[in-house]
Amino acid sequence: MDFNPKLFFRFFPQLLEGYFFTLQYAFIGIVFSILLGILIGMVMCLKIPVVNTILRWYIDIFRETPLIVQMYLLYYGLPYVGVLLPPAVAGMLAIIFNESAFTAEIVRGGIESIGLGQKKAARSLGFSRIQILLTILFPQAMKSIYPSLAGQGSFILKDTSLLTLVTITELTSVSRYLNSRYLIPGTAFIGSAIFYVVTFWAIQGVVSILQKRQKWN
Amino acid sequence: MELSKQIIIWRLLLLDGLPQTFRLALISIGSAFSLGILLGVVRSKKWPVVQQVLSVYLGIVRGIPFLLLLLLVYFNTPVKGVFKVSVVTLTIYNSAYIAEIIRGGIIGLGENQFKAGKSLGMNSLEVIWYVVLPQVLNYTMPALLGQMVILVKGTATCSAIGYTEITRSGTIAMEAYGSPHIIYLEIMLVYFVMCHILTTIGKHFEAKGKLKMLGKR
Repeated sequence: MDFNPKLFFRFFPQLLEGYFFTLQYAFIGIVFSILLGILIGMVMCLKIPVVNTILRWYIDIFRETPLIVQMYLLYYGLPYVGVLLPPAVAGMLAIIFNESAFTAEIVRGGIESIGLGQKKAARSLGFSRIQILLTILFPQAMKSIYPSLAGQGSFILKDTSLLTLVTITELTSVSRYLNSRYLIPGTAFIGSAIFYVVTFWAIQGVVSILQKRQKWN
Repeated sequence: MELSKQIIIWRLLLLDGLPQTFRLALISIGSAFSLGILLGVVRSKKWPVVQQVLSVYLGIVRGIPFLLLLLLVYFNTPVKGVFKVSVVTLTIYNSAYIAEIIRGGIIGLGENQFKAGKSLGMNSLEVIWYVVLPQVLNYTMPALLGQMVILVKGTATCSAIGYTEITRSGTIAMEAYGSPHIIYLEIMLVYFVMCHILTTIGKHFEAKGKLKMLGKR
Protein backbone atom coordinates (compact mmCIF):
# COMPACT_ATOMS: atom_id res chain seq x y z
CA MET A 1 0.00 0.00 0.00
CA ASP A 2 1.72 3.15 -1.08
CA PHE A 3 -0.67 6.02 -1.43
CA ASN A 4 1.16 9.09 -2.63
CA PRO A 5 -0.80 12.34 -2.13
CA LYS A 6 1.44 14.22 -4.59
CA LEU A 7 0.71 11.72 -7.37
CA PHE A 8 -2.94 11.72 -6.38
CA PHE A 9 -3.19 15.45 -6.95
CA ARG A 10 -1.24 15.15 -10.18
CA PHE A 11 -3.74 12.63 -11.56
CA PHE A 12 -6.73 14.23 -9.89
CA PRO A 13 -8.10 15.74 -13.15
CA GLN A 14 -8.12 12.32 -14.87
CA LEU A 15 -9.81 10.67 -11.90
CA LEU A 16 -12.34 13.50 -11.73
CA GLU A 17 -13.14 13.03 -15.41
CA GLY A 18 -13.73 9.33 -14.82
CA TYR A 19 -15.82 10.18 -11.78
CA PHE A 20 -18.12 12.37 -13.90
CA PHE A 21 -18.64 9.45 -16.28
CA THR A 22 -19.43 7.22 -13.31
CA LEU A 23 -21.92 9.78 -12.00
CA GLN A 24 -23.57 10.02 -15.41
CA TYR A 25 -23.95 6.26 -15.73
CA ALA A 26 -25.16 5.99 -12.15
CA PHE A 27 -27.74 8.72 -12.74
CA ILE A 28 -29.07 7.08 -15.92
CA GLY A 29 -29.11 3.73 -14.16
CA ILE A 30 -30.98 5.08 -11.14
CA VAL A 31 -33.65 6.90 -13.16
CA PHE A 32 -34.45 4.07 -15.56
CA SER A 33 -34.13 1.16 -13.15
CA ILE A 34 -36.39 2.83 -10.60
CA LEU A 35 -39.00 3.75 -13.23
CA LEU A 36 -38.95 0.24 -14.70
CA GLY A 37 -38.91 -1.30 -11.23
CA ILE A 38 -41.92 0.71 -10.08
CA LEU A 39 -43.81 -0.25 -13.25
CA ILE A 40 -43.05 -3.96 -12.81
CA GLY A 41 -43.81 -3.86 -9.10
CA MET A 42 -47.20 -2.21 -9.70
CA VAL A 43 -48.17 -4.56 -12.53
CA MET A 44 -47.31 -7.50 -10.24
CA CYS A 45 -49.73 -6.16 -7.66
CA LEU A 46 -52.58 -6.34 -10.19
CA LYS A 47 -52.06 -10.14 -10.23
CA ILE A 48 -52.86 -10.70 -13.91
CA PRO A 49 -52.45 -14.50 -14.34
CA VAL A 50 -49.92 -15.02 -17.18
CA VAL A 51 -48.22 -11.62 -16.92
CA ASN A 52 -47.54 -12.25 -13.25
CA THR A 53 -45.75 -15.54 -13.92
CA ILE A 54 -43.60 -13.92 -16.61
CA LEU A 55 -42.66 -11.02 -14.35
CA ARG A 56 -41.92 -13.42 -11.47
CA TRP A 57 -39.43 -15.21 -13.75
CA TYR A 58 -37.97 -11.89 -14.89
CA ILE A 59 -37.35 -10.81 -11.31
CA ASP A 60 -35.95 -14.17 -10.20
CA ILE A 61 -33.65 -14.52 -13.20
CA PHE A 62 -32.15 -11.04 -12.87
CA ARG A 63 -31.82 -11.21 -9.09
CA GLU A 64 -30.26 -14.64 -8.93
CA THR A 65 -27.59 -14.38 -11.61
CA PRO A 66 -24.47 -12.20 -11.41
CA LEU A 67 -24.64 -8.77 -13.04
CA ILE A 68 -21.28 -9.35 -14.72
CA VAL A 69 -22.60 -12.43 -16.57
CA GLN A 70 -25.68 -10.47 -17.67
CA MET A 71 -23.37 -7.75 -18.97
CA TYR A 72 -21.25 -10.25 -20.89
CA LEU A 73 -24.40 -11.82 -22.30
CA LEU A 74 -25.66 -8.50 -23.65
CA TYR A 75 -22.22 -7.23 -24.71
CA TYR A 76 -20.87 -10.36 -26.42
CA GLY A 77 -24.11 -12.21 -27.11
CA LEU A 78 -26.41 -9.63 -28.70
CA PRO A 79 -24.24 -9.09 -31.83
CA TYR A 80 -24.53 -12.84 -32.45
CA VAL A 81 -28.31 -12.63 -32.71
CA GLY A 82 -28.09 -9.58 -34.97
CA VAL A 83 -28.52 -6.74 -32.47
CA LEU A 84 -25.64 -4.29 -32.60
CA LEU A 85 -25.49 -1.94 -29.61
CA PRO A 86 -22.74 0.40 -28.43
CA PRO A 87 -20.94 -1.07 -25.38
CA ALA A 88 -22.29 1.65 -23.10
CA VAL A 89 -25.89 0.81 -24.03
CA ALA A 90 -25.36 -2.94 -23.54
CA GLY A 91 -23.71 -2.38 -20.17
CA MET A 92 -26.32 0.08 -18.99
CA LEU A 93 -29.17 -2.20 -20.13
CA ALA A 94 -27.71 -4.97 -17.95
CA ILE A 95 -27.54 -2.64 -14.93
CA ILE A 96 -31.07 -1.33 -15.55
CA PHE A 97 -32.60 -4.81 -15.94
CA ASN A 98 -30.74 -6.12 -12.91
CA GLU A 99 -31.54 -3.28 -10.54
CA SER A 100 -35.12 -2.91 -11.77
CA ALA A 101 -35.72 -6.48 -10.60
CA PHE A 102 -34.54 -5.53 -7.09
CA THR A 103 -36.58 -2.31 -7.16
CA ALA A 104 -39.69 -4.20 -8.30
CA GLU A 105 -39.42 -6.48 -5.26
CA ILE A 106 -39.11 -3.45 -2.96
CA VAL A 107 -42.15 -1.77 -4.55
CA ARG A 108 -44.23 -4.94 -4.50
CA GLY A 109 -43.34 -5.57 -0.85
CA GLY A 110 -44.23 -1.97 0.02
CA ILE A 111 -47.61 -2.12 -1.67
CA GLU A 112 -48.50 -5.51 -0.26
CA SER A 113 -47.63 -4.43 3.28
CA ILE A 114 -50.51 -1.93 3.24
CA GLY A 115 -53.51 -3.27 5.08
CA LEU A 116 -56.49 -4.75 3.29
CA GLY A 117 -58.73 -2.11 4.87
CA GLN A 118 -57.52 0.58 2.48
CA LYS A 119 -58.32 -1.60 -0.51
CA LYS A 120 -61.77 -2.50 0.73
CA ALA A 121 -62.62 1.10 1.61
CA ALA A 122 -61.62 2.27 -1.87
CA ARG A 123 -63.52 -0.62 -3.43
CA SER A 124 -66.66 0.36 -1.58
CA LEU A 125 -66.29 3.92 -2.91
CA GLY A 126 -66.37 2.53 -6.45
CA PHE A 127 -62.68 2.89 -7.41
CA SER A 128 -61.42 0.56 -10.12
CA ARG A 129 -58.46 -1.71 -9.40
CA ILE A 130 -55.98 0.41 -11.34
CA GLN A 131 -57.30 3.57 -9.70
CA ILE A 132 -56.87 2.01 -6.26
CA LEU A 133 -53.29 1.03 -7.10
CA LEU A 134 -52.30 4.41 -8.52
CA THR A 135 -54.09 6.84 -6.23
CA ILE A 136 -54.33 4.98 -2.93
CA LEU A 137 -51.88 2.12 -2.51
CA PHE A 138 -48.84 3.44 -4.40
CA PRO A 139 -48.58 6.87 -2.70
CA GLN A 140 -48.82 5.21 0.71
CA ALA A 141 -46.25 2.58 -0.23
CA MET A 142 -43.88 5.28 -1.48
CA LYS A 143 -43.88 6.75 2.02
CA SER A 144 -42.42 3.59 3.52
CA ILE A 145 -40.12 2.52 0.70
CA TYR A 146 -38.36 5.66 -0.40
CA PRO A 147 -35.39 5.16 1.93
CA SER A 148 -34.81 1.72 0.38
CA LEU A 149 -35.18 3.20 -3.10
CA ALA A 150 -32.51 5.76 -2.20
CA GLY A 151 -30.40 2.85 -0.93
CA GLN A 152 -30.72 1.28 -4.38
CA GLY A 153 -28.85 4.36 -5.60
CA SER A 154 -25.67 3.40 -3.78
CA PHE A 155 -25.85 -0.13 -5.19
CA ILE A 156 -26.21 1.21 -8.73
CA LEU A 157 -23.27 3.56 -8.16
CA LYS A 158 -21.15 0.54 -7.20
CA ASP A 159 -22.51 -1.53 -10.09
CA THR A 160 -21.21 1.00 -12.60
CA SER A 161 -17.65 -0.06 -11.73
CA LEU A 162 -18.32 -3.32 -13.59
CA LEU A 163 -18.78 -1.31 -16.80
CA THR A 164 -14.99 -1.23 -17.09
CA LEU A 165 -15.10 -4.95 -17.96
CA VAL A 166 -17.11 -4.20 -21.11
CA THR A 167 -14.60 -1.55 -22.26
CA ILE A 168 -16.46 1.53 -21.03
CA THR A 169 -14.53 4.46 -19.58
CA GLU A 170 -15.47 5.38 -16.02
CA LEU A 171 -13.72 5.81 -12.67
CA THR A 172 -12.50 2.22 -12.26
CA SER A 173 -11.23 2.10 -15.85
CA VAL A 174 -9.33 5.34 -15.28
CA SER A 175 -7.57 3.91 -12.24
CA ARG A 176 -6.84 0.68 -14.11
CA TYR A 177 -5.39 2.75 -16.94
CA LEU A 178 -3.29 4.90 -14.60
CA ASN A 179 -1.98 1.77 -12.92
CA SER A 180 -0.99 0.05 -16.14
CA ARG A 181 0.52 3.23 -17.60
CA TYR A 182 2.45 4.56 -14.59
CA LEU A 183 2.56 1.51 -12.27
CA ILE A 184 1.04 3.30 -9.31
CA PRO A 185 -1.41 0.72 -7.88
CA GLY A 186 -1.62 2.41 -4.48
CA THR A 187 -2.43 5.90 -5.68
CA ALA A 188 -4.61 4.84 -8.61
CA PHE A 189 -6.92 2.42 -6.80
CA ILE A 190 -7.04 4.11 -3.41
CA GLY A 191 -7.57 7.40 -5.22
CA SER A 192 -10.68 6.19 -7.01
CA ALA A 193 -11.84 4.38 -3.87
CA ILE A 194 -11.89 7.78 -2.16
CA PHE A 195 -14.31 9.07 -4.79
CA TYR A 196 -16.62 6.07 -4.40
CA VAL A 197 -16.57 6.15 -0.59
CA VAL A 198 -17.29 9.88 -0.42
CA THR A 199 -20.23 9.49 -2.82
CA PHE A 200 -21.47 6.44 -0.91
CA TRP A 201 -21.37 8.38 2.35
CA ALA A 202 -23.23 11.28 0.75
CA ILE A 203 -26.02 8.91 -0.37
CA GLN A 204 -26.05 7.23 3.06
CA GLY A 205 -26.35 10.65 4.68
CA VAL A 206 -29.36 11.52 2.54
CA VAL A 207 -30.93 8.12 3.32
CA SER A 208 -30.49 8.54 7.07
CA ILE A 209 -31.97 12.05 6.94
CA LEU A 210 -34.95 10.63 5.01
CA GLN A 211 -35.34 7.87 7.57
CA LYS A 212 -35.22 10.30 10.47
CA ARG A 213 -37.87 12.48 8.84
CA GLN A 214 -39.98 9.41 8.27
CA LYS A 215 -39.79 8.41 11.94
CA TRP A 216 -40.67 11.97 12.87
CA ASN A 217 -43.79 11.84 10.72
CA MET B 1 -24.12 -25.17 -32.54
CA GLU B 2 -23.35 -28.86 -33.07
CA LEU B 3 -23.85 -31.30 -30.27
CA SER B 4 -20.16 -32.28 -30.01
CA LYS B 5 -19.13 -28.65 -29.41
CA GLN B 6 -21.96 -28.23 -26.95
CA ILE B 7 -20.71 -31.26 -24.98
CA ILE B 8 -17.15 -29.91 -24.89
CA ILE B 9 -18.41 -26.54 -23.62
CA TRP B 10 -20.58 -28.09 -20.90
CA ARG B 11 -17.58 -30.18 -19.81
CA LEU B 12 -15.46 -27.02 -19.60
CA LEU B 13 -18.13 -25.24 -17.60
CA LEU B 14 -19.18 -28.01 -15.24
CA LEU B 15 -15.92 -29.93 -14.77
CA ASP B 16 -13.35 -27.11 -14.91
CA GLY B 17 -15.29 -24.04 -13.84
CA LEU B 18 -17.98 -25.13 -11.44
CA PRO B 19 -15.74 -26.98 -8.91
CA GLN B 20 -13.57 -23.85 -8.65
CA THR B 21 -16.66 -21.70 -8.10
CA PHE B 22 -17.77 -24.09 -5.34
CA ARG B 23 -14.32 -24.11 -3.74
CA LEU B 24 -14.11 -20.32 -3.75
CA ALA B 25 -17.70 -19.87 -2.54
CA LEU B 26 -17.51 -22.44 0.27
CA ILE B 27 -14.19 -21.24 1.70
CA SER B 28 -15.27 -17.59 1.44
CA ILE B 29 -18.65 -18.31 3.06
CA GLY B 30 -16.81 -19.91 5.99
CA SER B 31 -14.36 -17.05 6.48
CA ALA B 32 -16.80 -14.22 5.69
CA PHE B 33 -19.38 -15.52 8.16
CA SER B 34 -16.81 -16.10 10.92
CA LEU B 35 -15.34 -12.61 10.52
CA GLY B 36 -18.73 -10.99 9.99
CA ILE B 37 -20.27 -12.54 13.12
CA LEU B 38 -17.20 -11.56 15.16
CA LEU B 39 -17.32 -7.96 13.89
CA GLY B 40 -21.09 -7.80 14.42
CA VAL B 41 -20.78 -8.93 18.04
CA VAL B 42 -17.91 -6.51 18.73
CA ARG B 43 -19.86 -3.71 17.05
CA SER B 44 -22.92 -4.30 19.24
CA LYS B 45 -20.76 -4.04 22.39
CA LYS B 46 -20.40 -0.24 22.06
CA TRP B 47 -16.83 -0.07 23.35
CA PRO B 48 -15.84 3.61 22.99
CA VAL B 49 -12.89 3.72 20.53
CA VAL B 50 -13.44 0.31 18.92
CA GLN B 51 -16.98 1.38 18.05
CA GLN B 52 -15.90 4.45 16.06
CA VAL B 53 -13.02 2.68 14.32
CA LEU B 54 -15.26 -0.22 13.29
CA SER B 55 -18.02 2.05 12.08
CA VAL B 56 -15.59 3.97 9.82
CA TYR B 57 -14.02 0.72 8.60
CA LEU B 58 -17.41 -0.81 7.73
CA GLY B 59 -18.47 2.43 6.05
CA ILE B 60 -15.37 2.39 3.85
CA VAL B 61 -15.63 -1.29 2.90
CA ARG B 62 -19.31 -0.99 2.02
CA GLY B 63 -18.64 2.12 -0.07
CA ILE B 64 -16.04 0.55 -2.35
CA PRO B 65 -17.34 -1.41 -5.36
CA PHE B 66 -16.44 -5.09 -5.19
CA LEU B 67 -14.37 -4.99 -8.38
CA LEU B 68 -12.30 -2.06 -7.13
CA LEU B 69 -11.74 -3.79 -3.79
CA LEU B 70 -10.57 -6.85 -5.70
CA LEU B 71 -8.07 -4.76 -7.67
CA LEU B 72 -6.96 -2.98 -4.50
CA VAL B 73 -6.17 -6.25 -2.75
CA TYR B 74 -4.66 -7.75 -5.88
CA PHE B 75 -2.19 -4.92 -6.56
CA ASN B 76 -1.57 -3.46 -3.12
CA THR B 77 -1.28 -6.22 -0.57
CA PRO B 78 1.26 -8.97 -0.02
CA VAL B 79 -1.50 -11.53 -0.69
CA LYS B 80 -0.31 -13.53 -3.70
CA GLY B 81 -2.25 -15.71 -6.12
CA VAL B 82 -5.68 -15.03 -7.58
CA PHE B 83 -7.43 -17.61 -5.42
CA LYS B 84 -6.14 -16.14 -2.15
CA VAL B 85 -6.90 -12.61 -3.35
CA SER B 86 -10.44 -13.67 -4.25
CA VAL B 87 -11.02 -15.31 -0.86
CA VAL B 88 -9.61 -12.33 1.04
CA THR B 89 -11.69 -9.83 -0.94
CA LEU B 90 -14.92 -11.81 -0.73
CA THR B 91 -14.31 -12.12 3.02
CA ILE B 92 -13.62 -8.41 3.58
CA TYR B 93 -16.55 -7.26 1.45
CA ASN B 94 -19.25 -9.66 2.65
CA SER B 95 -18.20 -9.68 6.32
CA ALA B 96 -18.95 -5.95 6.43
CA TYR B 97 -22.57 -6.60 5.42
CA ILE B 98 -22.88 -9.65 7.67
CA ALA B 99 -21.58 -7.57 10.60
CA GLU B 100 -24.39 -5.06 10.06
CA ILE B 101 -27.00 -7.82 9.86
CA ILE B 102 -25.73 -9.44 13.09
CA ARG B 103 -25.54 -6.10 14.89
CA GLY B 104 -29.12 -5.34 13.87
CA GLY B 105 -30.17 -8.78 15.10
CA ILE B 106 -28.46 -8.35 18.49
CA ILE B 107 -30.02 -4.91 18.98
CA GLY B 108 -33.40 -6.34 17.99
CA LEU B 109 -33.03 -9.13 20.53
CA GLY B 110 -32.86 -6.62 23.37
CA GLU B 111 -30.98 -6.38 26.66
CA ASN B 112 -33.14 -8.81 28.61
CA GLN B 113 -31.49 -11.91 27.17
CA PHE B 114 -28.09 -10.59 28.33
CA LYS B 115 -29.41 -9.85 31.78
CA ALA B 116 -31.10 -13.23 32.11
CA GLY B 117 -27.93 -14.99 31.06
CA LYS B 118 -25.82 -12.96 33.46
CA SER B 119 -28.19 -13.71 36.32
CA LEU B 120 -27.64 -17.43 35.70
CA GLY B 121 -23.94 -16.89 36.38
CA MET B 122 -22.64 -16.97 32.80
CA ASN B 123 -19.84 -14.66 31.75
CA SER B 124 -20.20 -12.32 28.76
CA LEU B 125 -18.68 -14.76 26.26
CA GLU B 126 -20.91 -17.60 27.42
CA VAL B 127 -24.00 -15.39 27.18
CA ILE B 128 -23.13 -14.47 23.61
CA TRP B 129 -22.23 -18.01 22.57
CA TYR B 130 -25.05 -19.96 24.26
CA VAL B 131 -27.87 -17.43 24.55
CA VAL B 132 -27.58 -14.55 22.09
CA LEU B 133 -26.00 -15.96 18.93
CA PRO B 134 -28.28 -19.01 18.47
CA GLN B 135 -31.35 -16.77 18.60
CA VAL B 136 -29.87 -14.01 16.46
CA LEU B 137 -28.63 -16.45 13.82
CA ASN B 138 -32.05 -18.09 13.73
CA TYR B 139 -34.03 -15.00 13.02
CA THR B 140 -31.54 -13.19 10.81
CA MET B 141 -31.22 -16.35 8.69
CA PRO B 142 -33.21 -14.99 5.70
CA ALA B 143 -30.94 -11.92 5.53
CA LEU B 144 -27.80 -14.02 6.00
CA LEU B 145 -28.85 -16.37 3.19
CA GLY B 146 -29.47 -13.29 1.03
CA GLN B 147 -25.91 -12.23 1.72
CA MET B 148 -24.77 -15.74 0.81
CA VAL B 149 -26.47 -15.32 -2.58
CA ILE B 150 -24.61 -12.02 -3.03
CA LEU B 151 -21.35 -13.78 -2.16
CA VAL B 152 -21.97 -16.57 -4.68
CA LYS B 153 -22.74 -13.96 -7.34
CA GLY B 154 -19.59 -12.09 -6.29
CA THR B 155 -17.42 -15.08 -7.19
CA ALA B 156 -18.26 -14.28 -10.84
CA THR B 157 -16.49 -10.92 -10.53
CA CYS B 158 -13.31 -12.73 -9.42
CA SER B 159 -12.97 -13.84 -13.06
CA ALA B 160 -11.86 -10.25 -13.76
CA ILE B 161 -8.48 -10.83 -12.10
CA GLY B 162 -8.09 -14.18 -13.82
CA TYR B 163 -9.40 -16.74 -11.35
CA THR B 164 -10.72 -19.58 -13.52
CA GLU B 165 -14.18 -20.19 -12.15
CA ILE B 166 -17.26 -20.83 -14.25
CA THR B 167 -17.58 -17.34 -15.75
CA ARG B 168 -13.97 -17.29 -16.86
CA SER B 169 -14.07 -20.82 -18.23
CA GLY B 170 -17.11 -19.62 -20.18
CA THR B 171 -15.08 -16.73 -21.58
CA ILE B 172 -12.31 -19.17 -22.51
CA ALA B 173 -14.86 -21.43 -24.23
CA MET B 174 -16.28 -18.40 -26.04
CA GLU B 175 -12.85 -17.40 -27.33
CA ALA B 176 -12.32 -20.94 -28.65
CA TYR B 177 -15.79 -21.82 -30.00
CA GLY B 178 -17.73 -18.57 -30.41
CA SER B 179 -21.49 -18.30 -29.75
CA PRO B 180 -21.29 -16.24 -26.52
CA HIS B 181 -25.09 -15.89 -26.40
CA ILE B 182 -25.52 -19.61 -25.75
CA ILE B 183 -22.53 -19.95 -23.41
CA TYR B 184 -23.46 -17.03 -21.17
CA LEU B 185 -27.09 -18.18 -21.02
CA GLU B 186 -25.82 -21.56 -19.84
CA ILE B 187 -23.65 -19.89 -17.19
CA MET B 188 -26.65 -17.85 -16.06
CA LEU B 189 -28.62 -21.08 -15.75
CA VAL B 190 -25.95 -22.61 -13.49
CA TYR B 191 -25.83 -19.54 -11.23
CA PHE B 192 -29.62 -19.37 -11.20
CA VAL B 193 -29.89 -22.95 -9.95
CA MET B 194 -27.29 -22.37 -7.21
CA CYS B 195 -28.79 -19.08 -6.01
CA HIS B 196 -32.38 -20.26 -6.33
CA ILE B 197 -31.69 -23.15 -3.94
CA LEU B 198 -30.30 -20.66 -1.38
CA THR B 199 -33.26 -18.28 -1.86
CA THR B 200 -35.74 -21.12 -1.46
CA ILE B 201 -34.09 -22.13 1.83
CA GLY B 202 -34.28 -18.48 2.89
CA LYS B 203 -38.01 -18.33 2.12
CA HIS B 204 -38.48 -21.50 4.16
CA PHE B 205 -36.80 -19.82 7.17
CA GLU B 206 -38.93 -16.71 6.66
CA ALA B 207 -42.12 -18.79 6.67
CA LYS B 208 -40.94 -20.59 9.80
CA GLY B 209 -40.27 -17.24 11.47
CA LYS B 210 -43.79 -16.05 10.65
CA LEU B 211 -45.31 -19.24 12.08
CA LYS B 212 -43.32 -18.76 15.27
CA MET B 213 -44.65 -15.25 15.59
CA LEU B 214 -48.17 -16.62 15.33
CA GLY B 215 -47.32 -19.10 18.09
CA LYS B 216 -47.31 -22.27 16.00
CA ARG B 217 -44.27 -24.54 15.66
